Amino acid sequence: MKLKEMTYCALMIAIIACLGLIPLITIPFLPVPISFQTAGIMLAGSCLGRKLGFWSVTLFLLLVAVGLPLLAGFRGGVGVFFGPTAGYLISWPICAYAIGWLVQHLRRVPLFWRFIVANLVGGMLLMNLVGAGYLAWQSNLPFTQVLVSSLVFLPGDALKALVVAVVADQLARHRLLPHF
Amino acid sequence: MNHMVFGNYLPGHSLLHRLHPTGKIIGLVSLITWTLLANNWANYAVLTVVILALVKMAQVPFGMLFSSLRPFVWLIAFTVLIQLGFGHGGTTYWHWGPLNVTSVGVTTAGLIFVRFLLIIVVAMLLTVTTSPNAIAKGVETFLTPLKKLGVPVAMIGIMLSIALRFIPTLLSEMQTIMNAQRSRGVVFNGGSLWQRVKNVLSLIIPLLVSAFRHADNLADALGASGYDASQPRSSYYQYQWHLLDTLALVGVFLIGVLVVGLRGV
Repeated sequence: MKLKEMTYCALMIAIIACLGLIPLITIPFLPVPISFQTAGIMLAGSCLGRKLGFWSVTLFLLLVAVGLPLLAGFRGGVGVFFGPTAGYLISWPICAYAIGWLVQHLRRVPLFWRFIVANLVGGMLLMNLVGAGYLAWQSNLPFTQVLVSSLVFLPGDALKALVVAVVADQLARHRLLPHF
Repeated sequence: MNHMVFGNYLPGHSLLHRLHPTGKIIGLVSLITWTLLANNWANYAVLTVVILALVKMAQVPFGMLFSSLRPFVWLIAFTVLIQLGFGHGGTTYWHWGPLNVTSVGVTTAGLIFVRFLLIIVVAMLLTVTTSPNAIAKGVETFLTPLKKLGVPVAMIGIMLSIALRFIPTLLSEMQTIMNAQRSRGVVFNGGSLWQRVKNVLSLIIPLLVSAFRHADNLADALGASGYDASQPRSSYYQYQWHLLDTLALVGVFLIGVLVVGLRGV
């Protein structure tokens, strides 16, 4: 791994931590406030590609696991990996990799729509599928029931995917995305 | 915000503060394993006594103990309520649609509640008695066996240290950007949904550009200072392993033996 890759990976870890601290946006008709931490995972995959995206998210979770309160709401410690929502955390490195892979492999598509599709499929859908699957398994709940309940997260996640796509597209237009 | 992220560290000179960070991480992982293995109230009584003794030893104010549990209230409640509402077996106390409150569900919910509390407190003990950089060093040493699998452990250590170093910097810059945008008329958390989205964009894009600039400058500085990721590194901070560290780990493993011995079927 080159120096530049290493420093970008490290700074992305810090970005993911900082995005968890952005004030929550509440959508009037939804009970779930939007945390921008998952936007950080989407950004990692979109801006750094699949390998570095995967590593930055994995190392972020490693810092969380040893106790640093870097998750939204100042949570941290291995306790977060033993609750029913741990599946969402486990999905994060997978999503970052999937987003990076999709951005790289969606040829002949305008860049903005490449980012949109990658973040909706690799980010929103994959994250909620893995999270819901884990929740159903860990709590002995019917998978279908949990999946339906997960729909409440989709508008917020779609909004985050849109924000990340706009950000990544803007950076790409101004040639500010890193190339390794 | 800086204080909230790193304010967990409580400078002090208690016995726990002086232990080797890698030893503390091993002890942490072990205690959590014992907590997961525990499956009856005798187990949890032993673990509770041990963990409260550690809290006392670390000189943690009880106010701090409770405030560290507060962010987890929702997660704990969610977990416990799921067990209460969907448990199976034993006497059914109450029933409505898919919901069943049963004796087994109540017992399981209670055990999960205690388990959750113990795990959170143990994790808190590490961050309270160990500075973030010592944690990064401890993690790197803890991961050393992975070198044989080809994992770039030294590089991971550097990346963790850089990330920890830059979190306060980026938080400060985020605050500066927010204030600069406010002075230009942006109202965060106000206006319509799309207005809020645009406001967040005006925060995220400069933050990201700034972070990337830091990354480029840092890579150049590291290169200029002769850093080579493939070469062995010396370390400014030296952590010594003492007899006390060995005794502490032996104590932790003895507790594990006790917990396993007290396990029910």
